[in-house]
Amino acid sequence: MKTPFQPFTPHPLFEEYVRYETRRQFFRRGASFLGTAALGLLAPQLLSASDKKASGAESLIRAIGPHFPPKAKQVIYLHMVGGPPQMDLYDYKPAMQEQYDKDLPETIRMGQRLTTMTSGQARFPIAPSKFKFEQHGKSGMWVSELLPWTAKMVDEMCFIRSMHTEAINHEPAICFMQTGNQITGRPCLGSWVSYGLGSLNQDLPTFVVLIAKPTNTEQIQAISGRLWSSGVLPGEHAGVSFRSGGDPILFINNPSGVSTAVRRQTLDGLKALKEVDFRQIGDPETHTRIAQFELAFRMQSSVPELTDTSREPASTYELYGEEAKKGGTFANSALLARRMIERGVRFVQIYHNNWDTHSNVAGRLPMQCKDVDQACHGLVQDLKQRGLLDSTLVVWGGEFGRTIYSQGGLTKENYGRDHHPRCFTMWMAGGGSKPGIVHGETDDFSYNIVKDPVHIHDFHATVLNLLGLDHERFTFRSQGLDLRLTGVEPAKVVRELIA
Amino acid sequence: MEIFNAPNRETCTVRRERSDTPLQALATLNDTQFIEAGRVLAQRTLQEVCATDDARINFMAERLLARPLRPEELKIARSSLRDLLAQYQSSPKEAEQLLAVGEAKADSSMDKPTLAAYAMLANEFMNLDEALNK
Repeated sequence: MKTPFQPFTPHPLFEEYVRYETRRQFFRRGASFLGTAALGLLAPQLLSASDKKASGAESLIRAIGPHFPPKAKQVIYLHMVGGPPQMDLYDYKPAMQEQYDKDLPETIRMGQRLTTMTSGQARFPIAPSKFKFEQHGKSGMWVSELLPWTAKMVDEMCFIRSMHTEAINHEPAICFMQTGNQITGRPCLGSWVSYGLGSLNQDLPTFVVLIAKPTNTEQIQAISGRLWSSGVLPGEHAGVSFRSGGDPILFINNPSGVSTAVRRQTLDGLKALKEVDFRQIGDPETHTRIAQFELAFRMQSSVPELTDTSREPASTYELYGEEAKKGGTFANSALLARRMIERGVRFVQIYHNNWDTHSNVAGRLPMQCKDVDQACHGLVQDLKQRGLLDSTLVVWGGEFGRTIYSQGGLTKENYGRDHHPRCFTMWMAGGGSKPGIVHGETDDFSYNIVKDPVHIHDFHATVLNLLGLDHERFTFRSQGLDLRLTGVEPAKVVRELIA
Repeated sequence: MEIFNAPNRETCTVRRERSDTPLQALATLNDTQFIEAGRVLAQRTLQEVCATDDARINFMAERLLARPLRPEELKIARSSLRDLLAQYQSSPKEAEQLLAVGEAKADSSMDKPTLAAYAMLANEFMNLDEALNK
């Protein structure tokens, strides 16, 4: 005989307490909790009115809008994690051949701080690149033999040899490259772009991250969600990371017995309940949550279509290479990136790891280049053929450069290179960047910049400019500061990089 | 666990990142574990509570949110339940499929559409911020 269920009737004060408080909130809010809860109790309408601007309705990707007509609408950012050695790829230094095993002169080093990985070395012997370089295209750009495919398209590319940074180790350096600050917590470039320009396709995330698996894995760096975090910007601007192996998105399909109609009903109920929550407490994250659930629902139909490459013609794989058929490779990610651009994803970021060649440059660098070379060429050509290159900015680069002197043993056959912040090479293609140019110069040692330095902030300012955003006006108020991607110190748009 | 920012254990992590993505929504909505847990909770609810729908709804709310629902929430829940029940009554085959998700065996003496409707109501509650963030 079952006793009728008596619901627990709490004391009204306790009910309020339970309603407004979760453990996490209590410990997080600390002193401000009482104030916020009081405000919520006293004036829930007040909270929701002021937060309406920040949170708004379910499809939260509204655009601030470009400040002036943009050249680029979308971005594909290819980040080479670890810091590729510029002198072995794009920064040709023939004078170094005569300097083999000679010490790096103090006049060149000029007190540059060393990492703990080489500070213990007795000597800093120069390791000239063992790879051959040739000139290509009308621009006459010198490109290493390791990148034959990229070399074919130098006239469509904009090289920057004079990039520089202050960071000397990966975490702060990648953070700097992505967020404009060595200290974590700031929004990344992709999030800023999502915030500024909004979505082109409500059924897909605005900002997608793909983490490609490199063939060689001798020195993988840790990369994490911090790098595509929205920081202080509203949560819906964070990057959504697709898996590199297996299903790109887990749980994309409803379980059996849950039809789209049923799923829709539960989501409607969920949304209504969350709105009640919002009216009571006023946490703007609630609306982010609602938006993410709604986006998840739309992605259930849009993502399988996006990732289904089965109908790509054979010509696609001739362009990108056979590796593009394998899920998780850089080539496959590049192909997916093109499909995403076609479908209106605003910002696609691909991370390719293992460029941190502290040792065994001879063994590893060719494999690294093989992973990306044909695919980069394929991607740019593919975009061009589809009429997307003019409006899509493709960016390639790491977080810093590498030293001309060898880390560890130096032989004619092999050497290693340590981190080097004072100069590194990046390239851009499409999206209004100036094709067929080489901007900036380094000294004979590829150690110091001698002409046209481009700091990370300058680079960011330029990218934002191509997207129609004025980096000085494009701000977000946080902690009393009008936060900018380009930081608080002066940064310039590099006009020479713009077509 | 990667979807919920579990560290990949390659480096020491002092604090996990916080994020809010549609991938997490998909996991908590569609992962077998969540569906199965919701289904079993629904079954237990129907076994232990014979009174009204409201009583059953609050039984589930007690277990997931540590409190009964407020009147406005109850209204929403009743409406969800009504719609879900109608759905499953018109497609009983789907109810059967749902009740087979996961390893726990469904109570075969129960009305399948009713059990399925409550299971999806549980799924709905389990996706509330209050249920997921304790």
